[in-house]
Amino acid sequence: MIKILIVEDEEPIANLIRMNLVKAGYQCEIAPDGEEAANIIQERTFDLMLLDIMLPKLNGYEVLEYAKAVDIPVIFLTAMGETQQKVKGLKMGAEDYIAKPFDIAELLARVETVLRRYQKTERHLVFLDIEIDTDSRTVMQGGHPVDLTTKEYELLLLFLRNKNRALYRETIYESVWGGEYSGRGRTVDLHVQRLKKKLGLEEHIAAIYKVGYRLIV
Amino acid sequence: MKLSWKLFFITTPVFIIFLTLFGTWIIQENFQSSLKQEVERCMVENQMFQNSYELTKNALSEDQLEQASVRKIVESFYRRKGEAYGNARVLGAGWEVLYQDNSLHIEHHIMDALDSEHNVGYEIVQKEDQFYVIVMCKSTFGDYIETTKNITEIFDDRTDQYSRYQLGVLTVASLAGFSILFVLFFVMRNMKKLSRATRQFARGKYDVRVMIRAHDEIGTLAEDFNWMANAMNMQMQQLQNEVQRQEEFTAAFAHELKTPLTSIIGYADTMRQMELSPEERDMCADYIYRQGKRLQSLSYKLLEMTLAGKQDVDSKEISVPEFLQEIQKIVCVSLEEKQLTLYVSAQEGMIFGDRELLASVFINLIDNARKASEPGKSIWVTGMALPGGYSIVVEDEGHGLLPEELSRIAEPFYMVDKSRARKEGGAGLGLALCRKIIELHQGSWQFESEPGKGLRITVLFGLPEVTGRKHKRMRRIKRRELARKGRHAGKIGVIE
Repeated sequence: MIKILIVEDEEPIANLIRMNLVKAGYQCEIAPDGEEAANIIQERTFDLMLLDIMLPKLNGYEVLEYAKAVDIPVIFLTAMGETQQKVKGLKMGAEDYIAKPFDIAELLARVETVLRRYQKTERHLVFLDIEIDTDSRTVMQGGHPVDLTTKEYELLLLFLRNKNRALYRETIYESVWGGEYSGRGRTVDLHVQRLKKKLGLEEHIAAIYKVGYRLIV
Repeated sequence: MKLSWKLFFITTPVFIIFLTLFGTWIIQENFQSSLKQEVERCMVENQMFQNSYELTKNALSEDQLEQASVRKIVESFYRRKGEAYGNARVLGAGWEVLYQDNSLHIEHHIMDALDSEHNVGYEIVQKEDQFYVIVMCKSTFGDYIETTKNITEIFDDRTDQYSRYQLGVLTVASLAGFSILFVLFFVMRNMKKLSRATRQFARGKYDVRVMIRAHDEIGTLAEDFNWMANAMNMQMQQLQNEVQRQEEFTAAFAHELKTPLTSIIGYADTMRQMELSPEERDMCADYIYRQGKRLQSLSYKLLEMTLAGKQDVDSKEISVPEFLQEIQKIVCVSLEEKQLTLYVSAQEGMIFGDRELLASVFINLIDNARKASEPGKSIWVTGMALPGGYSIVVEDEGHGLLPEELSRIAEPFYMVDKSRARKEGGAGLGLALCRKIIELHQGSWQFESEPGKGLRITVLFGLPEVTGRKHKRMRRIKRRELARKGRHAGKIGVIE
């Protein structure tokens, strides 16, 4: 299980992040101030830290120094939209930053990107009789290899990493194809249809009216 | 052309012309009087000669007269006198020379002017660059007596004086001119300093000052310049502070806005994307509601602050004991909930201001005291009539503040303990609002605190009757009093 430390003094925001990360299959812990965060990472190891900048006792930049000492990748959470602060954080060695207010999908995507960069995502994903090895990018169903295009493979990974989550068409488009979603094309729908057919997931990938799709477990 | 050269070229010629005219006049007057003296002396000499001549001639009998020549006669009284007049001539009625002292012969026309009424005349004649005064008179014997005197010396003197005077004028004028030039250069150096400083100031070097120690108009101008520069610096500083305060406020406000917004957007996003259990959904909804409320209270407080800044104070006399009792009624419920005791005491007295706004100040202050106090503690509100006004003190037994916290507590959105303030429902604007209202009432306040020993806030109001100049003086006295008190009490933040 991947462990994430959330350092945030605003209790509602800390709970919000925890709730969503837990649902996405991560294990989470909350530190309400900088000092506690510094103490916790001395005692236990974490795979990632989400770090607020304006914190009581020790500020985010100071906590970042502690995190670097024990090799924990850090994503800054910042309410200050100022470029300087972002640059300062990144220069000091943060992996990424998320500006408040943020979309949950954005939060999860950035968490996953950083984890992948550190190869801390689970390399072996299993769903029903489907097995995915992210290292060799191979998909097996019932012991037989399935031939998927790159986009279909990315789409499958997205569904498996967001089980039970309603994925908006724009979210799907942006994370698989990249770029701005125009809202007109049928690309997303066509690819989802093909993926359902290839893997026999008609029962599990449900279309949500006017929204997108959800992988039901 | 530079001012110094202008003045030099104007004053020097004027000086020269004026001095020349004046000097010429003096010399001429002098010369005229010398000449007149000389002429008079010659007249006297001529008269004496005539007298001697006539006396001698009268003394002679007719026989003797016919035998004696004029030369003999003249020589006889010359002998008697012991010396010669010199340059004397005696002419007969037909202009024939009867006697002559020397060979000097000068043409003149005095005899033409002599008649029965005027029997003496004189003329000043130039002969070969020598000047002579010639006096001629007609004796009673019908012959003419002419005496001559060389007065070239007087003319030479005049010429001499002229040339010496011209030299003097030139020297004085050039000396004066150069001293004007020198003085002006000195003055202009200061002027240049000033103008250089002004240019530098205009180019944005605002700390430039002029060092001129002269006690003249330029010195005063320099002082005025420095004074203006200081005043402008102070004003700019004030404006900059104001801008900075505004920027800080905006930044803090954006931060305060983003925090509840993040929760609201995040929980709503979660709810629309996820199938949640009823408990989870309730929790999300509760967070959205509470953070929404927080935004609401923030916007209310902000509105109040803006209004307090714009509002004209609806000033009325307020009786303090009555006013404090009213506030006690409003706050007592929330204090009882936390088992806090409120002691209110007030001396008879009046303050002048908007009842609603002032009430919100003291409700805010008491509310802050409530938030800072543990259950079972007490809060005191004390009103005291002072010679120059009225003071109301709010004192608690809460956790107190550090000096660095004390200096910042009236800043908008500053919260000593953020998470606790949030739990108590604070937006961090209470004291900022109080400060605005107190400023609006021309009041002042001061804080005294020690960590763990509570906080004491003194709010001072001026007397209502005191207005204008007197009012300013009162405030100055009050400020001085505060400053003095501040020195005794140690750590105090005075904000006005």
